[in-house]
Formats: sequence, C-alpha cells, structure tokens
Amino acid sequence: MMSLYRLLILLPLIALTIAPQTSLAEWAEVKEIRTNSDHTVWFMEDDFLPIVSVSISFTRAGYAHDPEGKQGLAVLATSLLDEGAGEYDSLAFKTKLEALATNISFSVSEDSVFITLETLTEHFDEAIELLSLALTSPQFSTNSVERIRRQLIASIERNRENPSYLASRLLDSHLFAGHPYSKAKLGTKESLNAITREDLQQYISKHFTQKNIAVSVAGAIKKKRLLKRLDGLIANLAPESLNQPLPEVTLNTSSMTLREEYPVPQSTVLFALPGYKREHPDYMTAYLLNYILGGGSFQSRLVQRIREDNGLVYSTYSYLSYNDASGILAGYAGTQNENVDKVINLIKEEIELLATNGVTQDELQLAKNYIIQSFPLKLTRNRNLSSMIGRMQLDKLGTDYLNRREEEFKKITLEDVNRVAKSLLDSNQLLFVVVGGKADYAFDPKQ
Amino acid sequence: MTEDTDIQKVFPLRRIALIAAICIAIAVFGFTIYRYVDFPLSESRQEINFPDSHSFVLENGLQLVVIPNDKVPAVAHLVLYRAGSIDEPVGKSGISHMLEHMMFKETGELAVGEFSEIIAREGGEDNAFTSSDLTGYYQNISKEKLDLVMRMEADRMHRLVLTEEEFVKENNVVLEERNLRVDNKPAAVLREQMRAALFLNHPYGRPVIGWKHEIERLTLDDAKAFYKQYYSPENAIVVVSGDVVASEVLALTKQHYGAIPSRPSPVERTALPEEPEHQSARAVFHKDEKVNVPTWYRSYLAPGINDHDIRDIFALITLDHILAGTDTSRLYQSMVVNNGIALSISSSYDYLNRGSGIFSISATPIEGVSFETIENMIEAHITEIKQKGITIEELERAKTALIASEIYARESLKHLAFLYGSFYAIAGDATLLDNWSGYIKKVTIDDVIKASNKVFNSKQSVTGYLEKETEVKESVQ
Repeated sequence: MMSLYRLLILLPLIALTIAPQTSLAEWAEVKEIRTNSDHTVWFMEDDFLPIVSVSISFTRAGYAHDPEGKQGLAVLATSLLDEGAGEYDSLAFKTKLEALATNISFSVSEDSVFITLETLTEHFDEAIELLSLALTSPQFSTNSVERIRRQLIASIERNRENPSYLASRLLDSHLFAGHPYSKAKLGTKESLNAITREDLQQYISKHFTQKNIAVSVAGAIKKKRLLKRLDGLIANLAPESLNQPLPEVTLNTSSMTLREEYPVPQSTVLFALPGYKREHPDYMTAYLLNYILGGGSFQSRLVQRIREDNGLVYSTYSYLSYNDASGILAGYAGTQNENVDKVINLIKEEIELLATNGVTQDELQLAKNYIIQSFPLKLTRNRNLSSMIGRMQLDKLGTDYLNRREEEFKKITLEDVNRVAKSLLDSNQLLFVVVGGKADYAFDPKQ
Repeated sequence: MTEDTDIQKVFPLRRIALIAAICIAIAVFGFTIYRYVDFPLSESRQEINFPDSHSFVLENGLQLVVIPNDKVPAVAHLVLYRAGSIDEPVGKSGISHMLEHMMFKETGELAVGEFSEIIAREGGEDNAFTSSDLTGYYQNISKEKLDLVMRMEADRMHRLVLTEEEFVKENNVVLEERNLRVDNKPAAVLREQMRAALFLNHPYGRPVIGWKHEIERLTLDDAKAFYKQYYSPENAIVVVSGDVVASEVLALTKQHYGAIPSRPSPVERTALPEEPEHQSARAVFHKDEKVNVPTWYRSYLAPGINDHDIRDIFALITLDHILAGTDTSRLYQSMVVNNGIALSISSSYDYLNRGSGIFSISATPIEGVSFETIENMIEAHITEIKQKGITIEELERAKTALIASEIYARESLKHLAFLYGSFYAIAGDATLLDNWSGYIKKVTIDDVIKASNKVFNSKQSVTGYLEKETEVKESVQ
C-alpha cells in the first residue's frame, strides 16, 4: 500500500546525475573451491536475495549415450528422480520439496544431464539432502515408472503433431546419420517399453558418479556451509565412471532440400551448415557472424530481408549449436506453404552474400555492443547464473570467463569475421529441410 | 565509443539539464479502493515480499510507476496503454496487435526499424505485446540508457508515422504470426473457438490476434484511428523497475513524456457490453487429422479483479494451486497417480482482467480412457470441493508456495515491471501486491468453498474436446 511518507521523497527533486558509462559486467568473482574430499565446485556468492541455486551436470550421461534398443533411458531415468527417493515415496518427496519452497528441475541433452536446485538459504541443508537422495537412491517404484513412461510415450505422440519438431527430427537424422546424435531424445514407444527397472538403476550408478559430476553454485550461502553439504552429496555417488566418449561426427551436409508433407498452412523451413565446436579458436568470431546473419535481433540480415523487406515470415533466425563431438550453424523460417521456395532462395542469397562480401564495420560494432552489454541482463536470476557458471566449467572457459568475455569479443576484427564467413558460410553444404502442406494447402473454412 | 557517434547522427541526444523543480500535480495512488481494507499491514512479516512501488501522475495524465531494485545496474522500462483487443471496433479484430507491430516503424524522429536497432546497439532488449486489455512495449537495458529509451517511447507515443507501404508488408507478417500461433496448431484453434463460445456478448470472446478474415481486411486508416483514440499520455502507464531512485525517474519522465499534449477530452471508449445471464453449458468439438493425443478442456467464467469480492480472487488463486497446480495437487494425485486415467492435468486462473476472469482446467486422457470418464471424475472432485472444501494441509502447502513466489519474483526486473504495470493498469493500484502475503494468509477453507460455488457452475462453462479426425478427408476443391 502506498503510504504518505513516500510523497516526501518527491519534494526535493534532485537533478539526475548520469553516471559515467560503466560496464554492466562487473561480475562478482567466480571461485573454484574444494570440498574435503577434493572435489571442485565453482561458486559465486551473491547475497542480494536469500536464494541459492545449485547447477549440477553429469557429462556423457545424455541421450546419445543411451544403449541400443533402449533409447529414452536418460530421459526416463532423470524424470523419475523426484518421484520418490530413500524413505520418501513420490508424494512425500514432492510434498517435502513444496514445504521447503524448493524447486528441482532436470533436463537432458545429447551429451549431458543437467539438474538445477533452486532453494531458499534457510532451507539449503534440507534441500541438498533431498537432492542427494534423488541422485543416489531414487525409488523407481512401479507406479511412478509406468506413469512417467506413459507420459513420455504421449509426449512423443504430441511432438509428432508439431511441424517444427518433425522438421528438426528430419534434420538431425540426416545431418548425423549413423551417429548417436541422430537418435530421438525420447526414443520410441518400443524402446521406452523395453526399459526395465534394472536399466534405470544401472543408468544412475553408471552415469551419476564422482568422476563426471560438475557442480556450480550462485547465491546467498557461505562457503563453509556450502562445502560441507556438497561434500556429503558428492561422496555418496559412485566413485568411478565407465562412460566412453562418443565417436567424432562427420556431418552429412550437402546442398539439398529434404521435404516432408504435413497438412498445415505454414511450413517450417530449417537449414544447417557445419559449424564449430566450442573449443574452436574461431568460435566467438562465428558467434558474432551468426548474430549478424540471424542471431535473434531485428537487425539481422535474415529478418531484414525476409520479414522487413518482403513480409514473408513472422519469425526467422539462425543459431550456432555445439556439443561434445560436433558443431553446426542452423536456422529457421516459418512461411505459408506457397512462399517456401522464395524463402529458401532468400536464405541462400543472404548466406552467399555474407560469404562473398562479408559484414560491415557498423554491423560488427552493433553485434559486439549487443552481445557484450545484453549478456548481464540475461543473468539476473541465480538459477541462470549457476547454469552459466556450469556451462563455463563444462566448456573449460576458466573461472574468469565472465570478466574476460567482453575483451575477447572486443578484440575480434572485421577481417576475422569475414575470414570466418568465407570458410563457414559455404552454400555448397547448405542443407534445407521443409515440413508443411502443399503449396495450395490453406485451411480455408470455405473450402 | 564509436557507436555513440553513430547514434547521434540518427537520434541526437540532448544532454539532460534538469533543474530542481517543484512537484506539481502529483497524485499518489495511496487510497485503496478495495472493499477489504481491514487487513493489518503485516507489520511483523518475516518473509521477503514484493518490493515497494511508487506511483505518480503527470499533469498531462501520464502515470509513472517506479519499483526500485538494485540487484543489477539495469532497468526494465515498460509503457502500457490501456487499450487491447477488447477496445477494437466491431469488424476490426486484430487492429490493436497490428498497431503494436507498426509502432516499430517510422516516427517523428526515427526511420523504419531504427527503434530496435538503437536498442540493440545500446545492448538492450526490446519487444512488445498485446493482450485483451493492454498493449505494452518494453526495454531491458543498462540504467544509464533510461534517458534514451524514455525519449524514444515518448516520441512514438505521439509521433508515429503510419505508411501504406509498411502497413501492407506488416499485415502479411501478422498473418504469418497467426499461422504460427493458431492455424498450425489444432489445440490453439480449439482454444480460440472455446473462448468465442464462453463469452456470449463481451469482446473477450475475440482472439487477441484477430480473426483471419478481419486481419486481412484491416486498413491503414484503421490503425491511424486506433492510434489516435488510445495512444496518449492519460491512457498510458510508464513502469520502471531497476537500479533507480523514484524522484530521479520522475524528473526524467517529466522531461520526456511531460510535454506530450493530453487530449482535450478523456479517451472515448466503446462501452463494453456485459455478459447476459449464462443459461446453458456449452461444448465445442474440434477434430483434426493431426491430433495424436486427445485432450479435454473446460473453461468457467470466473471473477475478475475489478468486479468481485477480493476474497474470492485469493481463494481461487489458492484453489488453482491446490486443484492442479503441482504434482501433489488433488487432480494430479487422483487422476494421474492413483486412478491412472490421465496422463497430465493442469489448471489456471486468469483474474487480472478489466472484465471477467476465466478458470480453466485441462486433462489428457490415457489411451483408451474416454472423455466421459475424465469429465465425470473432474466433476466429482469439483462437487466435493464445493461441498467440503479442501483440507487444512492442502491450504497450508499452497500458502507456503504462493508466499515464497514473492521472493523468487524479485529476481527479474522485467517480471516485476510486468507484474506491477499490469496491476496498476488493470486494478488501479498495487494494493494487492503490497499485501499479497496478507491476503494469501487470510484465505480460509470457507472462502474456497464460497468461491468455488460461484465459479464452478456448468451453465457458465464451455467444455472443449480435441480429437483426431478419423474420417476420410474430403478432397480439397
């Protein structure tokens, strides 16, 4: 409720002094700290709110590591982690989390499993205990396993209603043909049904170990308390990891268009080119280049040409994506069926133009400004910070990355970007995937 | 930095020369207009609540809301217009959203597309949204740039330049947006049809994005008329959350928005028709060959924040959480876990509207389970709640979660700006946010019984059935 005393604040209107241009990126230090049993944790202390976020990743535990015939195992196992653990059954476990105002979320990528715990400082100890139980002794009760299995099978069915999903499956299975990355994350009804309780237990003991865990923390917690609790959590995991790295990828890219018919008025167009892995020395240069091509801003070449000049799409963008064994540059456009070929030609033209003529100094400056200055705006939540720090750990970027990032982007030159454009944007390797209706297909109710 | 020079070419920045000024015509929205003012002002709260907000009204009628929060040296700047799809003239559905797109085109100071370019160049993010009740434009940017974004928003508040060429192109963009959001998705088509069936008379029944045939026929003049009618300082709220001091923001606001002339007479609004008494339960069936997972939907007309007992609102916020808000909720435990007849279940309560709210429930039956089975069980639960209410344990758990949400909400400047802006724009002030935990704590089992009896009346409901089209499709043409 607004009270009168606030009015008083208004009376003397002080001249607004504009602070000198300060960089937003004055990050608190990320520290590498060690538990008693010598496991490292990356930690940023932030006392602004009594919230702590813990991000955990297990490498080589993602869905591309699922055994043959048991695709979907990684997702099924992680979806069951909060379905009862230790002495708590599913309902008791979740009730406990709610009472602690604590949220645990899980996600699975092709390479890794990511777990984020978000809790209040006052409940930190209990929250970590619950998480520890979830990671080491999930119950995998029949009721829960069958329920989550059914939900995942329904998710597969529901995904197949979505043209963007169909297009991305088509893209992945072509691009990564013969490699585990071509597998479907959720598997199939058959592969999910083939997973046994033993498979789930084995998955946990084999993939959640002291060897492949990475822990990062952001929030209001003291180092001593943090280390004490995390030491217990890590010590409870199996010591050894037997996970093997995935084979290297040979991307199946060539200048061609794959099409799949699906009865919708708007087609999904995806495209892909070989990109870079994160450790590639030109990765950050490619990141700037991608921003200019279609990296999300209204000023990107794709948006300007396809949406602003021609009004052919609502959304079009491109992105760089990398994993343990490959990197791609990919993109999206959604357009009504009859305009698909026009849009494909425009994408191709823009890619060729960038490769031939490069970017302008002005575009590069805009890209740098945006990428440097908007970065901290995306990291105001502790959970985003702890995830980012976790990413830095996995990608071996160093604890000083947050403060180094700006300099690294700044020193990239126009020549660097144009050199990378020439080598990366090779239209002879440009693969298109289209999922949508026939050109004359539009849901006109009058028909 | 070189980029500053570039911007000055297109958008010369005047240095701020603020003098200490006398506060004039500042109305503070400090007087509650709610029926319940009997809540103690929670003097001894342990928990961390929503932050304080400061509200001012400029001479020209523009309202400013400031929510100081110094977690990061940044601001979220949001301009809300009290104009949404329900304010559109009959036959012009989609014009409020179409105009929202046009706001990124030419203005007195800026060429087409420059608005977003300048924001990106300054490292900020910007976007806009349209809802039934409001249209909003926001930027998230470092705090030194508040001056810049205010200047730009003020410019387009009264000096938008609408041209035929840009309008025609943008109309196609919006039609593609409709394809993406609605026409490509059978579930979205069904929800659109259900909304139209739920409201018998009120324009809430129209889709915010507009009906396709009406979007296609929108004209430049329609956009000009809507802009002229609703985009003016007395119909706008500027919200700033972030690392700022209220008095300084007020000065900046006066500088940039203060000179925009208010209109001679108040905004002329089309009077919104009231709903007649709802006398029949309605059902909407949508079949599409693309549907693989059938889904059941139910929407009830519910209290909105402005026209009902505030106790009902909080009782229903709590009930929403208890009914299907989490995995420990009643419906999830009963239907998904114990009886195993549903794959998933969810509910939502939409109350922050100028008019009626909507309470919705949806469920996905397990393969082989009929809609009838799902519907019967959900209705049995609803009847039980109407008669016996909820348990004290359920109530306490929901309260813990709803109160804790205040702390987590503080982490995002953008979220806070949207939250406060919407409350000020729709409810008139932030009393409900300021006393959020007080209201939540006060909810009793009787409140829930009373509110659920008001809401769960099948005569004011629509049930939607999304199914696979199995018949052979008629050939097109």
